[in-house]
This record gives sequence, structure tokens and C-alpha cells, in this order.
Amino acid sequence: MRILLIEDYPPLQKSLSKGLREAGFAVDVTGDGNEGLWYATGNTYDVILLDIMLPGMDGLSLLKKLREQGNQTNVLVLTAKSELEDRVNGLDLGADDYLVKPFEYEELLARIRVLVRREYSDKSPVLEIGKLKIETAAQRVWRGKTEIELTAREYTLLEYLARRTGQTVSRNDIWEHLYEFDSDASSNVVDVYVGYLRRKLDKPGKESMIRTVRGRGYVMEEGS
Amino acid sequence: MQSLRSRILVGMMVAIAFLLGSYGVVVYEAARRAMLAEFDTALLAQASMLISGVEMEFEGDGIEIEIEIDISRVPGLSEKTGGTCFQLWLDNGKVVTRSPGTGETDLERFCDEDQPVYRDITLPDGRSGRGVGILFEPTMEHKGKSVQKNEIKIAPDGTIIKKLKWNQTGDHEDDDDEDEEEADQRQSAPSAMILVFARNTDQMTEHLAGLRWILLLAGGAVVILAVLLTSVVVSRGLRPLNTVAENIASIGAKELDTRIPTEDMPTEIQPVAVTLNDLLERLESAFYRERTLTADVAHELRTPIAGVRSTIEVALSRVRNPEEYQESLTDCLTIAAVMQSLVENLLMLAQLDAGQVPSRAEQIDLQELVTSSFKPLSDRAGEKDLDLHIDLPEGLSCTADREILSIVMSNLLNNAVSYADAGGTIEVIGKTTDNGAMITVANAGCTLLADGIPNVFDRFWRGDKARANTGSHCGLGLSLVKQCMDFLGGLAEVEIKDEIFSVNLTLPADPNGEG
Repeated sequence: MRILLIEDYPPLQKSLSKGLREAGFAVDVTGDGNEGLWYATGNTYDVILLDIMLPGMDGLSLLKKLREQGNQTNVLVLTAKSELEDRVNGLDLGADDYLVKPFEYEELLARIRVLVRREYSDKSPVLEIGKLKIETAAQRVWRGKTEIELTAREYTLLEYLARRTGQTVSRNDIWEHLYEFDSDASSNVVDVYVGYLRRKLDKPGKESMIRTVRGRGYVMEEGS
Repeated sequence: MQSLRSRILVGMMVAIAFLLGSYGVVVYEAARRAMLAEFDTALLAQASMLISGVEMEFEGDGIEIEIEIDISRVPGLSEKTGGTCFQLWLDNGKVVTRSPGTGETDLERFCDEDQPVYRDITLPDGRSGRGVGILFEPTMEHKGKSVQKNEIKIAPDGTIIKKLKWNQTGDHEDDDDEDEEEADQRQSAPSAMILVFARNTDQMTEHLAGLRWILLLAGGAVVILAVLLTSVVVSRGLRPLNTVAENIASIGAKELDTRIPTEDMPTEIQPVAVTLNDLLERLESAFYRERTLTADVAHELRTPIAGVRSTIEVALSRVRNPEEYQESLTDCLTIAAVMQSLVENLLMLAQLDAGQVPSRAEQIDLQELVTSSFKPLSDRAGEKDLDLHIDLPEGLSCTADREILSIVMSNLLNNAVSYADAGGTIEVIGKTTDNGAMITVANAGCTLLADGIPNVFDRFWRGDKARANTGSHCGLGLSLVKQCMDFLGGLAEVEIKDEIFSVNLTLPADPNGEG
């Protein structure tokens, strides 16, 4: 899952990007409105976290421009203004949600998860593929009654694939959702992580849940 | 008594009662005098009639007094209880005659040589009355024959006819023992007589009592009517005041933009309403300032709190090594320091606003002040490779409150360090002026346009780009500088030229004339 954080207050920038990365998100960060718009138009994000008071271009103008361009990315507005007018303004301009500062970090994560889920047809917080059960809220994965320990990145990859069960997903798409804009990771890191996942999810000797589609990417299947 | 209405009512009542009372007393007194005068005139007229019936005749060595009074012509004179009576004396005190009304009692004898004397007396029958006393000389007649004895006849028509023979050797036995001279005088025949004629005053008293009642009742009625009328008039008159009161009562903290309409207002209340409107205006702007400030403060505090919160929550979200905790704590400490300075600056501003800051003026060496104010900033200046260039005349000093002036200097230098381009220079230039000292703090790297100058002293105002550069400023520094300089009686002006941002401080005159 890839997130764009547009926030100019350094401590928030720092702590949020750190926390979100630890939660398995790929996070692009900027503190300037104009730069934020450039990021948002040039890349695909699952969620954009948008501050209102920004240098360069304020958050509401940015949001307006983004929607005018036809960009439908989920936008969560972070604002220090609690007046109803400000909140209504943000929602009317096309924001999907808002949080008033100071907010609880856990609530922010939960709301991000809601916005991520919204992109997919399945709104359930629990994904079940065959015997595999993924609790997206707690980010825990079970096979039958055995819990499978995954790293944040492995989990993100699994959830991304699981959300698109039966669809072939290209390496590039996966990479874009796993890595930040300025990451220097090469695209074959995707193959490495798919390998890690297979080792943890699949039972030895059985067919893998993640099938390689030659020349196109990967697809998640119910399998055994 | 709190109500204006009842005050006016009571005041009016007292005033009207007093005026009517005085008027009544005057009217009553005038009427009484007029009636008395009329009474007295009638009394005198009747007395004169009596007097005209008294004749004195000299008869050889004696005097004969003849009284011929038609008592029927004077009502009540002939009856014992007619309320009218008279008594006649010789001027030596001897009673000549009296009317039936006197009974056996003597009337009080009084007179004056020149004019009739009127006096309120008690009549023999006990009723109160008024009498006139006249000293008169009866008509003299010389007759050849003398009457030897007193005789009083009452004519069939009611006339008392009394003839009195007066011998020169008249019986004045009571004064026999007195000295010769007086005796001689009294030996001579009386030449004058005294008449006291009295009538009861019941009728007049009755009339006067009637008049009193009429005056009292009419007065009372007028007072009551006046009070009722006044009450109506006062109520109507005070209606605009009630309207004003209602208008004011309807104004809450949220309707401070309402004004009391003054067009149709009486001129007496207009100044009050105008003053109230002025007050409302001041209140409104104060409330607006307060609200804006509160919203700004809330906003400015929310962001750092959000920072602290998310830093801590992220740190706690998993088990970390000590270095990571340390870093998070350091971040929180930095944010706390910014919040602290925000709160302190706000408090200082509030105190300066309220004039609660005591001023202790002292001689300040400006070179030393600049150096000491820069010391806490030198690390940050070093990180940005900034150079501090101080150009102050030797011994430049001023007299001011050291604490306040160092707040000014620290804020300006802090701003300069934050906003100056890395590797640049912060210049502090001072000079002596006619009125005191002037210090300019300047730094390059200003992205503000000159049209932003009017805003730089506003609370929480920030140049757009400025915030991006620092993230650690609360937007109160310059407004605090301005407030402090106002407090010190100095001046702070901002100048932006060729991307150089400078603040000119004009410091108050040095009373000692040094520096």
C-alpha cells in the first residue's frame, strides 16, 4: 500500500512516515503543497494524507486541483482547524475523510485501512482465501489454526495480492505499492518477497497459492 | 428607591402637594382676611349706628347722657342669646349701659384714641366672637334742665332710651384716696365714652371651615389626579428608556454587532445610547480579537500536540532499542520547548496587553545585550554557518527594562537565525540619535514581499514560505517585539529591501545623556 503524506510540520512528518512505514506502507513525504500535487498526479497512491495549512499551496486548493484532474485517490484530510466550516469545506471539495489534530495514531491507521478497503469490492476486514485467513485490522495471518508470522512488507504484499485474488498483478504494480518514490530498490525485489511469502504460506510439496504468470506477473489463487 | 418612575412620581407628589398646600394656605388666608375685613366693617357700621344714638347734654353743673338706640335695627341685639351685644362705658370706666346679650357679665373693655380696635373675644354666652372698641365723644347738647336720675326707657319699638344724669361731683368713690391732682381731673365731666360692640363669629368660622374643607378636598383630588397623570406621562416619557433597556437586554455575546437605534430617541437618552453603542463596538472588537486569538492559540497548540502524540504513539507501537526511544524523546523535548515558548510568549503578550508587567528601567549596555542574547542561538547559527556582525558605537547604551529589551533582542536574533540564508550574515547595526539609540537587526534571505509588512506584527501571522523553512516558530515573535517596544515607549519598524529583512528599533531617550 502506498501512501502520500503531505504535511509541513517536521515532527508529524517524521513520526507518521516512520510509523506508517513500520506498518508496512510505502510512504512518500512532502511538506510543500505544490510538490504534493506533483507527487499525487505523477504516481498512484492508495491514500493521500493531506494537511490543510501548507506552504506553496494550501491543502484545500490542492484537493480541488486533484479532483479537477479526475484523480480519484482516497484523500484523508488532517487539519488543526476543528470548526465545522473547515471540515465541511474539506469534505465538499472531495475529501474522503478527515481527522482533527491532535489525533490518535491508531485511529489514523484504522481510517487508512478503511480507505484502502474502499478501493476493493470486498469491504470485509477479514480476507479468507482457501484455508488462509487474513485479519487486516490486526495484520495477522492464519492458516487453519496456525498463525503465520510475516514481516510488514511481506504482509503488505500478501494483502495486496489477496485483495486481488484471481487477478494477475504486474511486478511493476506491486513494486509501486510496496516502495516509495525515491526508493532505490530494484524491481526484482518483488520476486524476492514473493519467494519469502511462498516459503511461509505454502505447505511443502503442494502447489503455491501465488502462481507466476510468465511475462505478466503474479496471481493469488485459492489453491489447496 | 431604585425606580426612576417612582422617584419622579414621589417627587412630583411632594412638589405638587407642597405647592397646592402653599396655594391653599394663601387662598385661605386671603379669604379669611377678606371675611374678617367685611365682618369688621359691618361691626364698625353697626357700632357707629349705636354711637349715633348717644347724646350728652350739659345741664348746669351736670351732664345728661341720652342714649337712644334702636336695637331692633341690629339683628340679635335685643335678645339675650342673639349673639350680638354691646357695652357702653364712660371713659372713666363707669358702665353706662349694656345690651341684654351681655347678661350680667362685663364685656372686655378696649379702645384706642385714634382708631377703632378690633379684637377676638369670648362672648358672655361662651361663644367666640369679635368685637370693636371705640372711644368716642358723644354729641354735645346744652339744655336748660337737668335730669336728676338715670332713667332707661325702652320704647315700644324696642328702642332703649336711657337717660343718665351726670353730676360734676359724680360718684367716683373708688379713687377717693388718690392724690389731689388726679382727683381734680376726674372731677371734671367725662368728655368721651367707650363702646365695645361684639358679635359672634360662628358664621364666619363656619364659612372658613367650609372653605378649608373645600381647599383640602380639592387639593387632595388635584394631588391624586396629578399623580395619576404624572404616572401616565412618566411611563410614556420613559418608554424610550425601556426600549433601550430591552435592546440592551437582548444583546448577548453573539449579537455584539447589534447597535441601539438612536434616530428617534429623545435627546436626553441619546448620549447614553451613543455611549453604549461605542461600548458595544469596543466590546465587539475585543470579543472578535479574543475569539480569533483563542482559535489561533488552539490551532497553534494542536499541531505540536499532534506532533508529540504521534511521535510517542509511533514509538510505543512496538518494542524498540534504546537509541530509537532516545530519538523519540529528543523529538518530543524539542516540540515541548516550542510549545513552552509559545505559551510563555502568549502569557507575556497578555501581560503586556493588560499592563501587568512592572517596569524596572536601568542602564543597559547594548553591546553586552546583543552578545548575551545571541549566545543561546550560536549553536543553531553555527549549523547554518551564519555570521553575526555587530556594529555598535563604543558604549552605546540606553535606559530601559532589561528583561523586556532582551526579549525583543532574543526574538529578533532568533528570527534572523531561522530565516537567514545559510552561510549568510546577521547584521546588528546601532547608532546614536537625537532621541536615544537606534538598532537595526537585518538578515538576507527574505522571501517576503514589501506588501506583507503591515501584517508582520500580527499574532500568528507567518510569511508562507517562512513556515516551511523552520517549522519551529509560533508566529508570535514579531508581535511580541512590537508589544514590548510599545511598552518601553520605543518603536519597531520593519523594512524589506533587496530580500534583506530588517527591523529598526528606536529606543527611548537616555535620560543621562550618555552614549
